[in-house]
Amino acid sequence: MFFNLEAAFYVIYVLAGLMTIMSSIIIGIKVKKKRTHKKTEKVMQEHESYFKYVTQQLDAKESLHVPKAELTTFEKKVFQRELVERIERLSGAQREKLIQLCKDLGLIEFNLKRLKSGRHYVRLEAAYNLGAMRCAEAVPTLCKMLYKNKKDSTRFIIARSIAQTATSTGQVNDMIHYLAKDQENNYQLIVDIAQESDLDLHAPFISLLKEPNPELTKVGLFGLRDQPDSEMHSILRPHLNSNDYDIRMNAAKLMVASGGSSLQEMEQFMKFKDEEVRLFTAEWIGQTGVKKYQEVLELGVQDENKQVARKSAKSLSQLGDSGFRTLCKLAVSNLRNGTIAFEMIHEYLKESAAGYSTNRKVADYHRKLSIYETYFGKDQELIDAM
Amino acid sequence: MREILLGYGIFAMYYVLTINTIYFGIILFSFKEISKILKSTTFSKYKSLSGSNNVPPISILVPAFNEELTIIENVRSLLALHYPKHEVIVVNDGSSDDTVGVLIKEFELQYYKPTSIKDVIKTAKVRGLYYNPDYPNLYVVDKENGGKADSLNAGINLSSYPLISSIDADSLLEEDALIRIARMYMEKPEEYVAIGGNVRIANGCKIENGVVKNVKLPKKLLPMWQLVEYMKAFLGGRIGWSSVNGLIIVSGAFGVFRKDYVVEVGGYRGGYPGEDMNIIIKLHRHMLENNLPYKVAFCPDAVCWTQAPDTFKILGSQRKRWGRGNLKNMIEEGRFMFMRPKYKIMGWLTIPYNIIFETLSPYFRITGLLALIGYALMDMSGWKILLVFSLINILYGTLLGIGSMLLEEIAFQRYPRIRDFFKMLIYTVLMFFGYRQLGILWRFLGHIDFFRKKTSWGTMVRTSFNEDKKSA
Repeated sequence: MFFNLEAAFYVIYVLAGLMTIMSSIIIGIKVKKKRTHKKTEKVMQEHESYFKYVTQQLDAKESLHVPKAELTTFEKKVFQRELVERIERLSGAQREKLIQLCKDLGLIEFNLKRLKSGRHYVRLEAAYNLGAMRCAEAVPTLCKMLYKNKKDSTRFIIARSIAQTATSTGQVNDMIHYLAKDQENNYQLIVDIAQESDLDLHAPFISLLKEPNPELTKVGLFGLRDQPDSEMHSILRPHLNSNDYDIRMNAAKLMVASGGSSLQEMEQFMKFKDEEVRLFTAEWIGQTGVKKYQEVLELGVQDENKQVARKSAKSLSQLGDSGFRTLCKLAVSNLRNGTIAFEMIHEYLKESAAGYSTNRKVADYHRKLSIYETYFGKDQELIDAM
Repeated sequence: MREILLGYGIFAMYYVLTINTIYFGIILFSFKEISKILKSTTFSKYKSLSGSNNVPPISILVPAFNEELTIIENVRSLLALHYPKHEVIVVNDGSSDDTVGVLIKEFELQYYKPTSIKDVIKTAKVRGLYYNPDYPNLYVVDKENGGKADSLNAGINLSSYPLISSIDADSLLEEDALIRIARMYMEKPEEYVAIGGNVRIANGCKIENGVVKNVKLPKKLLPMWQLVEYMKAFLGGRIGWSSVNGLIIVSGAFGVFRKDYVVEVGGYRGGYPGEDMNIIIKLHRHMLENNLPYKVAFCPDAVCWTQAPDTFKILGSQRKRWGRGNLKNMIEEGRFMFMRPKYKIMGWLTIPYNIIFETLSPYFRITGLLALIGYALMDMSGWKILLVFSLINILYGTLLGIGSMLLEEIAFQRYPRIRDFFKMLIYTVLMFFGYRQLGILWRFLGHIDFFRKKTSWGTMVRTSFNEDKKSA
C-alpha cells in the first residue's frame, strides 16, 4: 500500500499551520470584539447624559442639539448605532427629530461616503443606515447599487432602503419592477419591502394590475389587500379566470373584502374552485357580520370541504339569532354536513356558557339555548356538560 | 498475514482521510457562504417583519410523547414567538404520562370531537381535540400511539396554513427563529421546499420562562462533546451542503416545510426512526423526478435550543436510533438514487457520501482498527507509520472542528469568551480518544438492532430545562 512518510510529515505541517492560522483568527476576532465592546461602553458612559437629554427632548418643540465636542469616527459609529436603533422603533415627529439629529451630526454625509466604499459589507451597512435615516439624496446611488448587486439576499436589503428613502412613487415603482423581473413568486416580500415607504402606494399598486408580467399583477393584488375597494371590481374581474393560482385567489379575496359584491357574486365565491377563497369568504362574512350574505353561508355549510363547512357554520353562529336558527335548521335537515352544523351548535353553546360574564352575553346564551330547544328539545346532557 | 493487516489498516486510515477531505471541501463551501449569511442576518429587518401581515402564516407541529415535564414551557415559548400569524398544534402520541392532563389544566382546554381533522394522510386513531378560545392559536390533538412520524401526519391533517414547522417537544425556539426562516422562504417561495434551523445545545445555559437568557458552555462532559459535534455538523456541514443543494437532512428538532409537497410525497414515514432524513430524501426525489425547481436549505441564524443527553445510556440509545434510521433510509430510498444522473448532486455526491462514508463507516473503521491492533500485536516495526497516520487523522479532524468554530466566530459569536474557544478546542481533540470510537460502536449496534427488526425508540428520558440549575 502506498505510504510516503516524508509526504505525511508535510501534511502534518500543513494541517498544523492551518490550525494555527485559524485559531489565531478566532482569537483575533474575539480580542477585537472585546476591545470594541469596551470602547463602545466607554463612549456610552461618557455620553450618558447626552442620550438622556435626547430621550427627554423627543416630544419638545425645539430641535435636538448636537454634543458640544466634535465626535471621532468611532464615536460617530456608536452614536449611529444607538440612533438608528431608536429610529427603527419610533415613528412620526419623534422619528423625524432623530433623523434631523443624524443629519446635524454629519452621519448622512458619513454614510454617503461609505456608500462608495470598495467593500460590499461597508456599502450595505451604509445603505441600511441611510434607509433608516430616510436620506432622499441617497436614492440614485442606492438604485445603481441595486442594479449592480448580485441576485442574492442582499438585494432585498438595498431595495428596502430605496423604499424608505424614496420621495416619489415612481422610484418605488421602478424598484418593484426590478425585483419582479425574475418572476420568483416572491410578491409577498416585494410588497413588504415597498410598504416600508411612507408614500401612498394605492395608485402604483392599481397600475400594476394592468401589467403583462404576472409577478407585478400579484404585487398589485397583494399590496391592495389592506385597501379593498368596490370600485376596483372591473379591474379585478378578469383576473378571476387566471391560470395562476395566486392571481386568481388574491383577486377573489380582494373582491370579497371590498364588501361591494352582490349576493350572486358572493355565491359564486362560495362555489369558487379554490378552497382558500371559499374559506376566506366564509370567514369574512362571520367577521363582518353582514347578514344579507346568510344564504351564502348556508351554501358553505354544505361544501364538500370540511374546513369550509366548519368555517361557514361558525360564521353562521356569529350572525345573531337568525344565523343560529339557520344553523339549527341545517343540522336537522338531511343535507350534507348536518353533523358539522350540529357540532358547531354545541361548540357555540359550550363556548358561550363558559365565557358569559356580562348580562348581555347571558341573555344571548339563553336566547340561543331556547332556539336550540325548539329544534332539538331539552338536552339535559348538553346542559350538564355546560 | 502481517502485511495484510497493515495493508487493510492503512486502507481504513485512507478511508478516514478521504472522509475528512470531502468534509473539508464542504466546509470550504460553508466559508464561501458565510459572508452572505453575515450580511443578510445583520441587515435584514426582522423586527419589522415580525409585525408584518405580509409574512405567510405557519402551523407549528409539536409531537409529544411523555413530555409532561417540558411541554408547558415549550408551548408557552411557542405561543410567545415573534411571528405575525401562527398556530401551535401539540399532538399527544398516546403518552403514558399526563402530557394531555397538564396541558388541559394549564390552558383550560375543552374537549371537542375530532371532526375538523382532515384525513389527508392516514394516522392512528385520533381520540379528540382540545381547544380554548382564549388561546385561539393553540390546539391539542390526542391520539393513539403511532410514533413521531404519525403524530406529525396528524398535525398536518389539522393544520390550516401552507407552511408547517416540526418542532421537538424538548426544544426551545429563539423568539425570532421562525421569522428568520420565513424571511429566507419569502425570497424564493417557489423553490424552498424545506428549510432547517440551527440546533444548539441548551445544557449549561440559563433558561427563564422558556427563553435562553444566558448562553454558556455545558459543564458536563457528554453535552460538551455534543456541542462541538453539533457545531461542526450544522455550521461546517449543513451550510456547505445547503449551498450545493445536497442537504440530506433537516433536523426533526426544528424545520419548516411546504405542506403541499409534504402531502404529495405521502407525509412522514411512520414506524421507524429517521423520519426527518426520510422526508428530505423523499422531497429531493419527488422534485427531481418531476423536474421541478427546488431547494432544501439551512438557515443557521434561526436557532433552536435542545437538551443534549448527559448520560451514556440515553446518548447511546439516541445514536443507535440514528444509526438504524440512517440504514433504513439508505436501503429504502438512497439505493434508488445512488449514482443516478437524474438525481444530480443527490445522486452523485450526497447519497454516495452517505452510503460509503456514513452508513458503511462503522464496518471500515471497526475492522480497520482491529486490523491495526492485530498488526501491532504481531509486529511493532510499523509503529511510526501508524502513529503518523493517527496524528494526521486527529489533526485533520481537529482542523475541521476549528473551521466550524471560525464560522461561528465570523457570523454568530454565541460563545464570546476566549476561554470558551480553548475549552471547545480541548474537547474537539479529546473526542478522538474514546468518544468518536463509542459513536461508531453505537452506530454499529444500531445496525444490529435494524437487522434484528427492533422498532422501539429505546431509552428516552426527558429532563426539565432547569435541571442544571436544580443540580447546581
